[in-house]
Amino acid sequence: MSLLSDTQGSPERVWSLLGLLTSHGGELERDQVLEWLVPTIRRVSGGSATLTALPNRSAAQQTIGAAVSLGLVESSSNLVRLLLAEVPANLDTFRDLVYSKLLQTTANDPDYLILEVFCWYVVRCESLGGTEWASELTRDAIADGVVKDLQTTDRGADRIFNATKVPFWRNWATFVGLGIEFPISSTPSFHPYVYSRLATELKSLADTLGYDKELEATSFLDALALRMPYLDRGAMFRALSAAMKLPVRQSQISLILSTAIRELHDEGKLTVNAPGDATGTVQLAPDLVHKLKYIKTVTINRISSQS
Amino acid sequence: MTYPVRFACWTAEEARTVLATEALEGQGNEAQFMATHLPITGFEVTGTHASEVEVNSEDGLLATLTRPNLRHAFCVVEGEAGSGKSHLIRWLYVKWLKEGDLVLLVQRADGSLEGTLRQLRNSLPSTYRDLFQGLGQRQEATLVGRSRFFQASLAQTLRPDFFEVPQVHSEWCGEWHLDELINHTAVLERWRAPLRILKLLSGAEGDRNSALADFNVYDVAELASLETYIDNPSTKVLRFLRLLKKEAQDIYPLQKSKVSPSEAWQNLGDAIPQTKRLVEVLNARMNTAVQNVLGISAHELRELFFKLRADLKKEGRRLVLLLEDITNFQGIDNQLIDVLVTQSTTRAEDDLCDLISVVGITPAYYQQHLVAYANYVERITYHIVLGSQVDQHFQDVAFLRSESAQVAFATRYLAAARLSSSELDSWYASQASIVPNRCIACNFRESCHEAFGELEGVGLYPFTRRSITQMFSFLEDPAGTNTQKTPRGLIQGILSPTLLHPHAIEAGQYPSAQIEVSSLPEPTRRVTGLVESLLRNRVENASVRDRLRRLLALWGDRQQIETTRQGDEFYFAGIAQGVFETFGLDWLGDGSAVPVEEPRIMGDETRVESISSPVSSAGRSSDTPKSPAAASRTPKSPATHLTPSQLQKRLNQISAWRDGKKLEDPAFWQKQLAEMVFKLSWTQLGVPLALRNRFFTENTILIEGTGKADTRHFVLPAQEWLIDGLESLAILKAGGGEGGNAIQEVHRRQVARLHRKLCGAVVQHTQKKTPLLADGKPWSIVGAATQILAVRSWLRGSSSPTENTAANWSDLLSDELDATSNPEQRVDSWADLLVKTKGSHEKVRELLRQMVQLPQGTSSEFGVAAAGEAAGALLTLRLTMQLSPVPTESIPTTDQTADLARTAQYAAEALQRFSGIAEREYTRLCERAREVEADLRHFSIHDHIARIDRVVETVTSQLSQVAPLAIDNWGKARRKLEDRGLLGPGGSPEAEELERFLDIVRDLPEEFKFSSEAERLAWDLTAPANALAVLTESLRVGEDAISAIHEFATEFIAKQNNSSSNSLSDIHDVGETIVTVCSNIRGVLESPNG
Repeated sequence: MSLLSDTQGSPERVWSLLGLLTSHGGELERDQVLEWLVPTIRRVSGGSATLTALPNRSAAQQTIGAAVSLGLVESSSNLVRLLLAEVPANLDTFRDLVYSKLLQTTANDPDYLILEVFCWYVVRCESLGGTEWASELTRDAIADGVVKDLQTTDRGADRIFNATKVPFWRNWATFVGLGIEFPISSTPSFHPYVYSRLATELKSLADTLGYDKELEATSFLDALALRMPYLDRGAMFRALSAAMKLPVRQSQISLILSTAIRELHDEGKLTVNAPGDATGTVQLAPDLVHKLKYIKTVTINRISSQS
Repeated sequence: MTYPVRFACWTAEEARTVLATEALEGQGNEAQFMATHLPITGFEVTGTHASEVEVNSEDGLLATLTRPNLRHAFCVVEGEAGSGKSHLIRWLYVKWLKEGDLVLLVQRADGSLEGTLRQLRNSLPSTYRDLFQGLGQRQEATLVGRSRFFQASLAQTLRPDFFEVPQVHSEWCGEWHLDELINHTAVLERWRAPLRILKLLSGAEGDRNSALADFNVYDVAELASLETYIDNPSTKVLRFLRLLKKEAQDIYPLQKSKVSPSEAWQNLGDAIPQTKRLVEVLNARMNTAVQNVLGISAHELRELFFKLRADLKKEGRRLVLLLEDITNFQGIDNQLIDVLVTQSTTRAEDDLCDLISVVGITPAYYQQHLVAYANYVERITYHIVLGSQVDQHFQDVAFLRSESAQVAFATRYLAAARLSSSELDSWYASQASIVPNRCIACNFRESCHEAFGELEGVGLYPFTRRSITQMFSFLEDPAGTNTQKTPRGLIQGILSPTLLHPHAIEAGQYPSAQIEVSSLPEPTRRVTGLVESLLRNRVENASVRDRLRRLLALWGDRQQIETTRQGDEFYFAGIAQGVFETFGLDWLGDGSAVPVEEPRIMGDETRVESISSPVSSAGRSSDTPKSPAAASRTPKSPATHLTPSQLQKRLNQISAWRDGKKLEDPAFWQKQLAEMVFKLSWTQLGVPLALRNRFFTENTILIEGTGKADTRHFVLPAQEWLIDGLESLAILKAGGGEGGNAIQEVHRRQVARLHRKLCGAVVQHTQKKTPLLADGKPWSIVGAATQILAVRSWLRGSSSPTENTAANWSDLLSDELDATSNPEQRVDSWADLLVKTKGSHEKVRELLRQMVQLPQGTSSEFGVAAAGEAAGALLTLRLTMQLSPVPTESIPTTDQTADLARTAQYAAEALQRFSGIAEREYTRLCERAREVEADLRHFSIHDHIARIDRVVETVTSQLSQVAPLAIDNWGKARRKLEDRGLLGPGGSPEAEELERFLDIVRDLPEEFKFSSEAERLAWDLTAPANALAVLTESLRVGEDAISAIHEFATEFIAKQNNSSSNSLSDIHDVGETIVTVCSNIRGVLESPNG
């Protein structure tokens, strides 16, 4: 079971399962779960019931599979049980829960691919100097690229990623706030855009680094790398950069992270300072029109926890 | 490189001489004229003798017209104001070999009729000048005075008896006393139209620009508005004014919208008959009134020309009349044309010289004056049309159609302006074909030409190819009355503002505000949001920012805000770095721009210079900024099919909006937003698809400030993120423009931000639209629908509250079958609840199905149910047997929200009735069971019914007249029992089930406690409610029957006691009957154990 093999188990469906189990005190017979998720709906025509084929319950089974893969429930042949002491109160906190589960995955875990493929996007944007390619590549091309760059010999001979998985990967990646479906192209495409995730992670960072404190850019970025390892200075980013032969640039921030930092600064959630004569600055990725070019210090504003 | 910083290679004075926009200004300056002359080509030739023009060029025309044996020509040169008619006519004049011909050139000059006549007189050789003495005399009266005189004369012409041959609508004029109206003191004082016409005829202070002096619908609307000032009008005048006033109501809106008078005429069709007739009347009589003002008779001009031609005939000379603009002759134009079309060869007297005339006219004059007189059109020998109709209003100029031609035209002026008058005179005198080029000796030549471009060695400084062609494409008449995409427009709108002010360059202020002339519409002088942001963030000095903005808007490619490089030259927005340096402006590009093969660059892609130019590469000059090599980007297909000009129009709308103007065509932009909104991942946002369809429609998405909003609208604030986002969205949807990575990246970032903000706004709007409960929490639509349908399912006996929840869930989502719970036999609230929620339960169910569906991607299948909220609501209901609270405020019922309103209504109905229903029904069932038990008197149902039957049969056999109604009722009740299966032989299953139920009730303790109310309801549902009700009722009827029989028998005995019969046998019979009846009744009334 994994998020990319139980592909019909989308985030919203897993959230539905959690709600169902919570309402039932944390556990429910598997048959009932299936019935709840894919109900047998009787249709009446001309006063009598019309029999339709029994609903295909594979979507429900895969939803259970995805939830199991995330470690949110356990499932036996006749029972599905919550493994959470506390179920998220709303969809947004569920997003954070899923993200934290993904963060805990290791390279052996098939769900590791969710963040790893995203990291591949980040590194590739660095290599190509922009995000435009992301909406121009076909699913096959994306899958081929991922396999070429991520499939190391220790991961076996079976392809770790294929074109079929692309939309399902995109679904999870957008759900946890790593990007959006870009609205321009006629076919869905992924645009890496981590504003939402970074905005959420600022709260975690503030818990350790403090609100309204001016932090050196490097301290901020180092702390961030633990929460977002697929971005600059993160372990995943470093490893993949090396694999994809992207030169390490300690004093330069990736395009994807730069965009998010600039927007968070614009929205007042953090304040970036870079006096003209400052030394020890970190350079943001070029942006033709934005005034922020460098970072000397970063302040996480308290407003971020309230907004 | 050394650039010509603060260096203007011309003087204002030289420029002024060269730029004289009226081709014929300063007729002596032929050197300047020829130095700037660009051959006029590409025109169309029609007319009766068109085939004689072998080549459609100015040389071809000249050759045709100057043939010695040509005896008559009426050549019309048609073109928009400023399109080069005058230039062509003057060129003909310059090139005409005047031997034997008297060639008279009449220029537009001040545009006045008097001035034109004066010019005509003055251009004559002195020997003929006396003929025209008196023509064009300056008037002593003021313009206002002449205007009143003109109006009074006009009024006279409206009298039906004024003309010998009645003019158009003469009778109608008399019928309405129009002479009285036009000559009324108030109209003379207040009506502005006559003054306007006189002003035009007087040249409009040199600004006439070929405008026609005609009355129009707006003049008549103005006349109508004077009604209140007109004292003591005659009844006819008053009635006529009222008719006009009524029609004026249709005219004012068009006037307010600045629709041209001719368009208003077309648009209003038959709606303004009186107005149109009055316009026709006034225009038909205008010339007569004008001639009256000028003091010339209708035939005088004709006679003067005939005299001149007769004299020339005697000398054996031809008359050549080159008239720049026929509109200058308005007032006497008909007479003049009569002269021009009169052929010497057709006169029997053969008394006139031959006449070649070339006359400049505008398309409007052609349509409104020449076409009106069909014989004039038929007598045009050569009809030269300088352009083609390009839109509803104007013709273009054929010889400036290509960008190359526009650049070539400008280059001639630039080259000439750099030469002094004496240099030009020397050149002209030398008859050399090539104009001297000052660039050749210029120290800055190399760098200047590299940065600004050149054409055949002539530098374009301070322009570039793009700036010339781009500004030309922007040219527009602010009043909308003329096209500006003409030679005159190019000179006045592009060249003059720069060349007449070289000090702006010398003072380091170029591009200065002087170049922002009104013919470059404001939107074209704006830059995109990206550039605004760029300038704001990069340049502190406001004045420098303004200059950069002008440079980028007019010289640059606004969709290519990026740094590119070719060779050693860098470009930003397609403008060479050298241009920035020359003008002393901050270089906005990134010096690190490098070729495409290196990673992480700005402007790593190259592009071909664009302004969608139809110019072939062969026709392109080397001024093209050195286009960097082509990019290797995957070709993109645009999501929309906006042409570059359409895109530019849209971007102009955004720029104006950003500047605080009202957003134009908001419907287009709202549609863009709607498309984006509907593509959002709604289920990921936690918004059910059902609510998307109900709260968001294309018609209810509204941009703030673009219309009146009410609670239905999803209003998006007109903030920077929306403005920038829409701009970038339009650009990317149109294929991204030609920008490279850097610019594309900004656009994509802005669209991503728009996406994010829309997501937040959508969630907020959904929350706002979701009704609230009394505690301020949002109402759960899913919860309410689930509970309503669950209650219906239970009360109808389709499922039970003690079944597993999944079974309840499936059943409540399913279509309903016939009820099995006999609701009509239950407590009133039971049936009542079902009736109250019956009408639209299908809609509530459909709403619920839509609310909970989680399809895969964009599939239309149900997919998986969003079960959490529904499960919570169902379990709460099962636990409490109470429905959740309902919204405090009513939900507006619209097409989109009718089912939500109905769900809330049903939830309220169910909430009110369902509470306690299980207990009430339980109590009732028990009461009925106990009543039945009492009636049965420990007999089985079957036995008890048999006993009643026995009594009825026995008594009726003895006493045929006994209680007929009661016995009939019993018969009916019994049949009901039979029908219900309760009277089967040997006891029926139904009766046994009922008896088992009676046993259960009998065994229930007095205050039995169910483990839950759900169980109580389930128990209620298992009760044979219908059979119990039927039995209860039937037994009641049986009891009534027995009572009635008993009563009858008692009365019968009493009657017999008083009987007069003394027969012993009668007494005995009665005694027997009484014994039998009483015995049977006793048997029924008593229990088996006494």
